Amino acid sequence: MSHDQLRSQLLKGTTPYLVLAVVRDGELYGYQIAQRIRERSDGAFVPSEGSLYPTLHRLEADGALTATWREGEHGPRRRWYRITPAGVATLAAHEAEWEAFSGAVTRVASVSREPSGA
Amino acid sequence: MPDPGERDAFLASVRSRLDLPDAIARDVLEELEGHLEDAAADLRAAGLSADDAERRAIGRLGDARALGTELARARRGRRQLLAAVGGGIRAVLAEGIRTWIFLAVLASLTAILALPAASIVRLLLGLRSTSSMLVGMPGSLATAGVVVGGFAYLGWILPARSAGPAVRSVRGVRRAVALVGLAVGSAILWFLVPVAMDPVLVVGLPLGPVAFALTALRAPERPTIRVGFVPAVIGAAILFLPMTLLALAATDPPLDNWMADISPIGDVPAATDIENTALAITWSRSYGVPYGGQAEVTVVAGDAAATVAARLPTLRVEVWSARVVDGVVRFGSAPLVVQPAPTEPITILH
Repeated sequence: MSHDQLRSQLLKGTTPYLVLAVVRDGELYGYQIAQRIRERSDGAFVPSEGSLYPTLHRLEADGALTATWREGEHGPRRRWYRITPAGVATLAAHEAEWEAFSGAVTRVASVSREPSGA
Repeated sequence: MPDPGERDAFLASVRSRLDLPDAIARDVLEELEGHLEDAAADLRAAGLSADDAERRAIGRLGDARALGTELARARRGRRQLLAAVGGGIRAVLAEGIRTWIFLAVLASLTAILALPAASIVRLLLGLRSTSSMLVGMPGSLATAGVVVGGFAYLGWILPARSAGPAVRSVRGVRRAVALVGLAVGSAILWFLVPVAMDPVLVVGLPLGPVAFALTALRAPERPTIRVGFVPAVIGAAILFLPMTLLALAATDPPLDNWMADISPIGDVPAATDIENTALAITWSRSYGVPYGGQAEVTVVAGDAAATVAARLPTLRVEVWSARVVDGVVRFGSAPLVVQPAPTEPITILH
């Protein structure tokens, strides 16, 4: 498995939480959300833009985000997303789960790196 | 300037898979267009030509049709689907009650008009009695027609009323409404409707929920068929003939001189030592020919009531089938129900 494929697999399923995490800090529209994720991860995460919009609409349908249209500086209007209390709660639950999960993965990996006593 | 056709083709391809109402689809496409605008501007700022920037921005959104399918799926989240089903049930109740009241009023008015028409037909044809099977069949056909038509109408309008504009045209919602209507309609018909049905109704009535489901699956986003004044008049006119036939069946000539041999009732057992003449036997009837009704026999023993009750502590209460043929009540060959009952003299104070 290539580096990109591995990263893509690891990223799968986490996009909703990355979206909620960046929107928690303030209202953003779709393109800004993609940019913000890229910036915050130092380019490590580049969510597929094709999957970003279905994710946004799904989060909205689930009540984790609300959306408002605003006129853009140029071109079409932009749809701004804001996190809801339900979204904050979802994100908090995911963060706790992620910490437990990543901690366990790290521990397993570090044990396997130690030289065997034999 | 980049070729605008490429972006338009991409958005049109997304739209082809957006199974959403026009207004919602327009919003989704406008959002994508804004995204393409921003992405292309950034790429141009990074040094790409306008055409390359446009092409790269479109390419980053991936396959247009897959994106359309995913967006449509995302817009109808579970919450909205549940809300749609909830809305569907509310609409079934509200619209269903309204429609059925309307149909009941229509049927009643038609029946009221059909009664004098039936009398005229009877007078003209010299009919004394009519065969219920002969004239009941068109009546049953009319009933089944009204039920099937009513259900089909409900199926046609309900999906549009079942949810907000975000989800009402979604196929899944139509399927949900069709399924709920099929189940609820069948349950109502089988558990609430009286079971005395002829073959036409046995076959016709269950078709109602089926008609509901079929029309619900093809229901428009904005139904154009609404029951207005003109369709109501046309419907009443169409119903008039079968209703007249039904009225013919339901209103046999009045039985002013109906007769029945009730002499066995008057045979008081010898053990009572009471003369038959001491008993007054009367009939009272509540008769709705040809589909049902009842006649009650009252035995008035007068001063001998206490003696009768003492010597005959129980009576046999019998229920007989009976039929009026040419103005004469004819009983069946044996009672349908025989049940003992305590004798209870009723004291009448003068």
